[in-house]
Amino acid sequence: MSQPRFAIIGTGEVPCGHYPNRNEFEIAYRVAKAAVDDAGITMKQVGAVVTAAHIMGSDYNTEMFFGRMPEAIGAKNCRVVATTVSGGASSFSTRKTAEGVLLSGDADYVLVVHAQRFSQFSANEQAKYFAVAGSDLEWEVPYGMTYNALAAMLTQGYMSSTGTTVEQIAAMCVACRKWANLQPNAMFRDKSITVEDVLKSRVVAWPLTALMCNVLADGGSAFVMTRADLAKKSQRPVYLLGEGSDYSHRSIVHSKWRDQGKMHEFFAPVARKAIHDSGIGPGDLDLFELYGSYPVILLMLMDALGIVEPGQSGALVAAGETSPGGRYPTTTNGEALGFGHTGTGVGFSVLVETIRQLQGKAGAAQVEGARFAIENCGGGAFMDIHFSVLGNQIPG
Amino acid sequence: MNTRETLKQRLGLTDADFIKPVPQPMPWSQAFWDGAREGRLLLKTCADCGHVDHPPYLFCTECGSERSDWRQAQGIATLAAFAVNTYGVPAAFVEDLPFVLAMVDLPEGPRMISNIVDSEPNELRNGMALEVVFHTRDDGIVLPKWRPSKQRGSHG
Ligand SMILES: [Zn+2]
Repeated sequence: MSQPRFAIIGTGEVPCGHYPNRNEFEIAYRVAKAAVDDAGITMKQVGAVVTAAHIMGSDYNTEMFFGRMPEAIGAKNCRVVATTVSGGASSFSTRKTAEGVLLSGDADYVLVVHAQRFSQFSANEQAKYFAVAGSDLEWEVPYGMTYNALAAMLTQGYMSSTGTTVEQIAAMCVACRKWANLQPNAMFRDKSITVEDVLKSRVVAWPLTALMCNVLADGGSAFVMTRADLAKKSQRPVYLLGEGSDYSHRSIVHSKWRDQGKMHEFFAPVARKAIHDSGIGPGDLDLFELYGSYPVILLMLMDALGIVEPGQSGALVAAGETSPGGRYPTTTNGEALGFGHTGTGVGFSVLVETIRQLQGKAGAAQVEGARFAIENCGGGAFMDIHFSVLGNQIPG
Repeated sequence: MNTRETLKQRLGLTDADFIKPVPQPMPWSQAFWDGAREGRLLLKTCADCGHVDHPPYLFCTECGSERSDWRQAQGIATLAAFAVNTYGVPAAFVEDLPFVLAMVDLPEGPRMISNIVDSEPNELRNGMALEVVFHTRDDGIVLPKWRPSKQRGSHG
């Protein structure tokens, strides 16, 4: 394999949940400072600041587009500022932007920042936004389409096609919650749930119950990226070893897969490319930091990774193999389902947790001896997929 | 008090929040909605390669041609997957709960998102045969929807 070119050397995060009085720039400053401190650099060494716009426009986005961020976090020597957004895939698009800045030589250290405050919007504003965001305005929204209904259709199609049971879908939510219970910043850190709780909770969009749907929350996170050669000076660099991407559609009716039991056929080549480019073998993965936002998507992602036969991931999860202590630690921050859904930020929180794990800083959730992780994000109405493989060492 | 008044009071909504979203046709999709008003399900068909695009774009997504005809579809489809909305929808749809959303596959090629009507959710099975019905909303908008086919079985 070729030598890695980039590394992430520090992360920052704030608690996720309902914090209506916590301004986005307060979040941004806290996570930026934490990430810089964790990286062992100073804010004055940050040469570029890349931010993700947040979902549901607000004054915060305008402020970012007009260059508020470097000033608001004290990055006095910032020469490059940019906001890049691809919805739920923004942890990918900001990272790609950071890669470009690093390759250009314009900066040695790029700080990537995300902040979100959903609590400024009413419940109906959020419902209306996510009906439109997940669906086509002309062809789907007039029918009462919602994001949860989209995920519910994919769940119904997947269960019908693979024989996965609703109990197995619920088990995925329980596994995420078990991880979230180990995370001090997770929205649902204090409350545990059972499969029965998930199945008994209110039906939102059959077959999905409330506990199978993620909850919108306020939060934020940041990370510092640098070139791999510079990262050697850092205490605990995490190398970006391999990446892969693919795009499918805007509206689900144009998705590259037709059978909802076969979404893994869209994901799998991308995962294989990221693993291949990293120089590790599939058996070397210690962590599976997946972002699906709904339990069924997590199962579809697992179906793509060659751990089990496609369609059998539900059984793997129900057996506890992805939970704390299991053979395949999956989404160790609890994902949107357990950590909270911060709009464009879920991918950031999953990536930040991946880095923490590989730095050995994941606290109660730490997977001992973790060396290599696969991580993903995706946006839109399941419009795209991005996998990356990261490691705290360069495979030799 | 009815659902609407309760919601208005509890969530601070106004009558405007209960207005259903109206399809806003593009210049290249207007014919579909005009057809629906006449009870015809029209699909944009490429005049050069014959590809059927739905939802359509200005051009053929297969060959790039901007020449097209609108051809009437058979009005049948197969149920690919479905969901039943029961909660958490925008206010304009609360009074319709519960209702079925589905992906349906047309023999002409396209997949559509629509509602399944005139049936109970527990009667629905993926792969079952559907037929189109034209539903006129209170606001006069005509939406093509689907119901289980009167001829039993799958269209294959
Ligand atoms: Zn054509």
